[in-house]
Amino acid sequence: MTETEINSNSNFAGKVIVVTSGKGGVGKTTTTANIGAALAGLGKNTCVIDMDIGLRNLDILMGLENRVVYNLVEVIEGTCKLKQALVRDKKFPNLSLLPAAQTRDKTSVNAEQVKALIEEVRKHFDFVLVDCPAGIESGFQNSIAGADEALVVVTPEMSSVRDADRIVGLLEARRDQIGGVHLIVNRIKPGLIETHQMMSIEDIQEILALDLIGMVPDDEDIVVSTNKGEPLSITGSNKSAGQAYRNIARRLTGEEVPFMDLNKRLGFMGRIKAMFA
Amino acid sequence: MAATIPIRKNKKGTFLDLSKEEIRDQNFLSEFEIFTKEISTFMSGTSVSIILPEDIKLEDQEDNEILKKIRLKLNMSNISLKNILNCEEEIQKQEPSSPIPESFVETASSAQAKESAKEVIDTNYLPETLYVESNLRSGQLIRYPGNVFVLGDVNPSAEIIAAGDIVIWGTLRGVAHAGSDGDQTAKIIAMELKTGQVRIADKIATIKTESSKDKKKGDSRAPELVKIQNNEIILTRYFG
Repeated sequence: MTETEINSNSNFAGKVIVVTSGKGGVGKTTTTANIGAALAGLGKNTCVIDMDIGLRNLDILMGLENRVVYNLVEVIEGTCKLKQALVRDKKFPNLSLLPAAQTRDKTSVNAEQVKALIEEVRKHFDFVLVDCPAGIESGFQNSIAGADEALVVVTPEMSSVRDADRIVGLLEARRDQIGGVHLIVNRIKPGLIETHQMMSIEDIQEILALDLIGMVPDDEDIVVSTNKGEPLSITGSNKSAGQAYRNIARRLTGEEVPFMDLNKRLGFMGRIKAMFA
Repeated sequence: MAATIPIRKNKKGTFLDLSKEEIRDQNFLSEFEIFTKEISTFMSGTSVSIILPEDIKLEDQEDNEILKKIRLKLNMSNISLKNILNCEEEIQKQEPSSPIPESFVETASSAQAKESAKEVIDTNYLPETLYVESNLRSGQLIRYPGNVFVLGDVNPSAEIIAAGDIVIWGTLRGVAHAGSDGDQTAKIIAMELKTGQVRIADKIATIKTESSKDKKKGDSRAPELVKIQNNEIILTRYFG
């Protein structure tokens, strides 16, 4: 069960996208799991890599924690082969997870090793999503080592935006390697934005000035799906955060998808309330 | 990590302090390359001196090779290598401390505060104004012994510390410190001012920023001017 058949066509070079944010707790791992599942749902061969060595989470969100046998550090150290460490998803055979080691820490690998590993992984997939740990230290440097593009996740808070700005500065310093830096605004509460109690997309873009690839509404179902280990982008309705993630996945494949109208979620009474607030 | 190599600016010029770096380490050069690319956004076209760890000997063949590579990486980012120093030479150049009260700089960045105490004076070969054609993002710091002109925005928690004037063709949201060597006539001009604090010479003023709610769209008033008048920092408009 743990051994995944991987595409043997080695001429294939998938796109490597790092999901990063600077600040912790803004939804990097949730974003990785959901976009990964959505890409697989579109029929793309997808691999999600958990680079948060020592604080492994991505396996839980994907409901695969019981199937993890080997991990990324063991692949790098040569204890096992890549194909032994890849865990295939329950629902999508074309979705694999490369788990992080929980008993090690960020210093157990270096950027060169990660880069070599990612070069190997990308041969077998259309998309490789790298879930980056919070911070700007070695864990971050390792995560971006092999990336072609970056998804920067922010929540509409000044602290998140400032940390993202720092990250973007670091990513831009490597613009010959990292071609595109895209912005995902997560946990948007349209009601609060309308009453000017939360930063709007425009406020965020005024500072970050990035290519906006996704706006994800705040959604209680995310908490439920996280605990169930079933990404919402598989199950969620067309008004949910799951739909927003599905749209991001389609945009990543090059499709033009209009942004969801988040205000509609507010409902009639909600908008009346917002008017008087 | 090479990304944190201290950059010291004094009047002898700009120094990259490699004295704490493991420059013989095989990863050093690739990290140094990333670092030079990062600083090239604001140091392109300038020259720097480097300070080497004490145990590096220029006579040594292998060390010399590393130095050649360091020079090459700098040149790739359009930065020229002006001088090579070892630790002791650097320390001998200590000078009286800058007129900025230590405690004040300390809050800005304690590491830099200690550096600024070592500064020496001679700006002859540096251009009077540093021209920066990019946005400054959080965590980016420019220290310059002359004026600084930024064609772009200065984002929250980015810093500019200039001995002369600071002109920002964009929005100032971060920290700007003009006249950092004590020049009371220095000024800060920005198309828009949204920072919470400005500093000129040894003075600090806090500014009440308008919240986005009160902001009028398409408000095209004259640029903002911050200067010292009657021993106090004032905020006014710049009419040329």
